[in-house]
Amino acid sequence: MFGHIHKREIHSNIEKREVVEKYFDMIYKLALSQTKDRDSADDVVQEVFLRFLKSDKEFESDEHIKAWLIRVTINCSHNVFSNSWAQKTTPLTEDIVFDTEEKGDVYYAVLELPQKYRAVIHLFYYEDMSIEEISKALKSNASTIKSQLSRGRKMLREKLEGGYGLV
Amino acid sequence: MFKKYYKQANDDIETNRALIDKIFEESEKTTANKSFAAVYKFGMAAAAVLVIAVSTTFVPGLLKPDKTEVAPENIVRIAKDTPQNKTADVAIKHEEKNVKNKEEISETAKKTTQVTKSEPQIKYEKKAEAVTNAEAVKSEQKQESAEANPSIQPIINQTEESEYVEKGNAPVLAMDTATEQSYAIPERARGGGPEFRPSLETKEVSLKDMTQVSQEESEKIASCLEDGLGKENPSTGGQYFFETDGKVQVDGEVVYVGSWSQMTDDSHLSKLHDFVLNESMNEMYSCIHSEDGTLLGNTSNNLLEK
Repeated sequence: MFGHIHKREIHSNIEKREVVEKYFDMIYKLALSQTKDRDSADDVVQEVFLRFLKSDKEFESDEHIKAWLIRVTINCSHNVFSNSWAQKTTPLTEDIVFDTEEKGDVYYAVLELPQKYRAVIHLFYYEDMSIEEISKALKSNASTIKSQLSRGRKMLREKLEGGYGLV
Repeated sequence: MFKKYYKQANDDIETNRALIDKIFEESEKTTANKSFAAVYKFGMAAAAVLVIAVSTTFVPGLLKPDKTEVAPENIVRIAKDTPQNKTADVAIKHEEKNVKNKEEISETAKKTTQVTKSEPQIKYEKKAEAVTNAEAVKSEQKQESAEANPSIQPIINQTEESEYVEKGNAPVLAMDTATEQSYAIPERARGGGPEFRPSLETKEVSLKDMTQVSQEESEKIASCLEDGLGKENPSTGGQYFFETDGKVQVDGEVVYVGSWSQMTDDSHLSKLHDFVLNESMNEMYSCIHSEDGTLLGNTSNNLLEK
């Protein structure tokens, strides 16, 4: 009588709320790493979840939702930086204070990376996503992701004295 | 360590969860506006249909008569197309002539359209043919070069891998093996033989003149080396990373310089080899970096050879 549901159908507001609650922190921190500014991160997060709530897209799984949210976050963050004025005047986020020097060194070193390397580094090291998962989320070739990860790591090695364990 | 500190740093960041309620409020506003817009559009569409229905029903003569029927008595209409002093018969004949002319014109128009349409079509087909031919030539050349060069397969075998394992998983560079061997120049490296022999153990190559490679080049090299050496360590499953640092000129030939690493369980990259790779990407040799910024390579062992 009831057919097998192949798609992750999110119809009720309760379900939508659950998704937003579940992924909010992840999207916020990704947006912050991309925009380097809390206000811009707030805007990006709102935009991402509004699009999600308006979307009629049928998601296959939670992983699909996650990948979609990540991709939209990266795209919205790029839009923030497509404004050349923003590029010149947006400061590095220095209102975030860490209790240890190492955390601060590492976090701000990542913020200094080019945007595309930052995203990959963040997803790989903080979200523990594999190369394949990142490549699916960003709709990019796995070898491209690997290359960006390698270059990001290389830049971090140069910035961080001693490398903090990076080869 | 990097991963640990980066995770801790991000965990310390407080997120603005007050935004969640704001997002849902905004979403509800947008939904309400959306409903209104839909109703408005529907209403406008219904009004337009009504206007059209009224105008077609109550305003006579707006519907055009059937063109196939020539009403001889409707001389007024025909007379519009003909000089006023002609008789009705002549008028009808003229009308028939007009019809014939129109048919001729439409046929001519069709032909013209066909010619016009086919010209770009022909150009496109020629271009497509040229591309196909070029590709065919290219693929033939590729096949020929593939036949000339032996196919490549991963050369890291279980024995070699076990050497690394026995040494306590510490990154073991090929230089450790190389130092055990003499730096005597292998026969083929002395000249003659196949195209690329960067006898690096005897020739000092300064890395100061090293130039950068583009991301595309870097990806191409990584892809080629993955084809030759595999994407991951067959024993540990650790993913291979091929990083290209740059390129230098050796005896007039381009040589890429890079490193081959392997991901360990704790997301640590363990270096396996520093390498040099020829431009054709069929010869790869491990090497060591000396303190004065030169390269010393072991050309007796092509890592890409079976």
